[in-house]
Amino acid sequence: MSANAAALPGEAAWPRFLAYALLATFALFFVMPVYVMLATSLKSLEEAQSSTMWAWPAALSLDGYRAAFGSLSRGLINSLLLTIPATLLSSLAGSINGYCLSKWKFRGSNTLFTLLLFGMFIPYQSILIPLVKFMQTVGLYNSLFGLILVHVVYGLPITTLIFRNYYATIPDELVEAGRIDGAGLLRTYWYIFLPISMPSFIVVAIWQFTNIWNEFLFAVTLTSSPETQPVTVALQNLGGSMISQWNTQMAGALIASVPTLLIYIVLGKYFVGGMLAGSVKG
Amino acid sequence: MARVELRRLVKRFGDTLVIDRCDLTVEDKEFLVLVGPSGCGKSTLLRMIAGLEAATEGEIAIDGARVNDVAPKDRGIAMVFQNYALYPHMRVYDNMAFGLKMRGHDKADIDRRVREAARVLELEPLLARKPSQLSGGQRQRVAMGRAIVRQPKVFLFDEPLSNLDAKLRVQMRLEIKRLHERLATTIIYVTHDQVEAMTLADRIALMDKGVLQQVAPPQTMYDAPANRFVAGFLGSPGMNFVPVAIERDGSFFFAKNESLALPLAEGVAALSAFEGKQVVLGVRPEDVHLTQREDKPDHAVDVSMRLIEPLGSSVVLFGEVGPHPMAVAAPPGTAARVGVTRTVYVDMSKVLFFDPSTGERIS
Repeated sequence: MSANAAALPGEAAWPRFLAYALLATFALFFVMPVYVMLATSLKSLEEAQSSTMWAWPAALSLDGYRAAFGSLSRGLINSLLLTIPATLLSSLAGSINGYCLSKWKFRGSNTLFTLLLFGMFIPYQSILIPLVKFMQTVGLYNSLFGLILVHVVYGLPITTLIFRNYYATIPDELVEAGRIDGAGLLRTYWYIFLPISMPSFIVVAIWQFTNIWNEFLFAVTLTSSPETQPVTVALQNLGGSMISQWNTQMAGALIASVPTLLIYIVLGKYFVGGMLAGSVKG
Repeated sequence: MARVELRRLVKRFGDTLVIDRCDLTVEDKEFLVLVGPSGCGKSTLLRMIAGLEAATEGEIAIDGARVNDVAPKDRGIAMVFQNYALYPHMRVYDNMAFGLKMRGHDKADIDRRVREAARVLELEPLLARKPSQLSGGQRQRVAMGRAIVRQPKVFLFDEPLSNLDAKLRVQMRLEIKRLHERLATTIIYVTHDQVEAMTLADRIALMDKGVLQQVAPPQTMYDAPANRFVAGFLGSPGMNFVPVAIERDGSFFFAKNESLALPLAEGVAALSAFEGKQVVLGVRPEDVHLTQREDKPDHAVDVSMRLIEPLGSSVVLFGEVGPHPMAVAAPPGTAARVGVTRTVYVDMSKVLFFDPSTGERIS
């Protein structure tokens, strides 16, 4: 156990022990399906059966990975082409929204913000049919570009919220100092706010990347051909044959989850605070 | 030449009147300190001069030109904020250079001005640092440097020292004073600290509830406050106020209440109009003495002692005259005991009287 687990002075050790035991049980419960997925993905087709799902593979086989990668490669590329621009665009848009809604308030800006937040509470299912119709009408149905736009729009509430709340913690005097220095709305954003927004960009990027990458409903309804389908749809199609190739499906699921894991590992370390330290009284 | 004129200036936030018809002229090269309690409108007034708040009514003129509709950057002002508002991601150099860069100055000119300001403020070794690597006093100096490089006509300071500890505050106060002598520009300085106001100002403008109470040089304001609010605001411990009635006995006037009877010095003609009426007597703690001095118009009053505050350079005795509090500033080492009644002597030549209904000083 780590040093943190040691009982504090005057505190009995056993409640702490119980708490850790409980947490360990929950962790185990959470890890079990991951174990089954990993074990099954490394089995050969013959060995991958639901009756032996708990067993570690007798002989390690990469057949599942080969098959899955072959079927998913197009979907993976599509997902990257979808997720990266959609994440960047929705982060940037959210940042600009949040900046205006927190630092350049105008009449009705709070109402506008509230309305914008409503977007988070609209179930995707409820707008699916009009959305498909609309995308068909404007000629963006079955295109990655169309899907990007949809994700940018549906990302606005959450990205705006995160950026607005971050900018709200930045003293207004920074804007005022900028105004006296001769920077207007745009230059204040570009020279002052954008450079200190990195912590929020990281949070928003991880959030948006994960959401858009994993998103299935829009992907399956707004794309109709393998040329445009993201990996989530391709993954679903893996299970579509007569017999269930469990090893391939599990390998596919693992492959499809690698990018979001990577994003978290790579960007997570930039989760640094203190960007604002020293700007105001310390 | 940088004269700032405010004419009938009014500011309302919704229905709330924050500044009420303010008339004020700040002369060229003058150091004017705007002082007053929290929420009196002094910062709002400064922000209106800066152009960060729009005036509801009235006129602001700098150098004789109306600037109500001029953007902050074009008013020829620079401002130092209470929390410094340094750009956190920029080095000290870039913080100071930013305003010049925004105005399109060329690189050589920016460099020359930034280095000159850094030299004046002794910031040269810190130019490559980020604000987070600076102490409070250093940040304060960077904020001033950012203002200096612009070579503004008017410097605006918004409580610049209130985030510093007591010792540093005194040091920075001196630096600001020296800076003013060196730069010879108009300065408008907002503070709630009366010591800063007294020490820095050529003239003090004292505000309360959005209304300018008095504009005068520090000593004038201290000796001849326009009203009871001004009298009570300046000075620590504050002026003693005792309600009395003006009574006449033959040709002599007395200020009387149930606990004291003080003969008035001659020449307070205005007081005769208050004969038989209530007024408020005001006397500063340092004008109340423990012993009767020779040839001085001191008059005895009995004070029951409640609290003794030794300050090192003096001892403040807090007591009561009847039900009314009375503080006495006594020399250091004064032995005093709580609970006893002591006779003190009020210097009647320093006593002020205020109209209880309007608060105005009777003179």
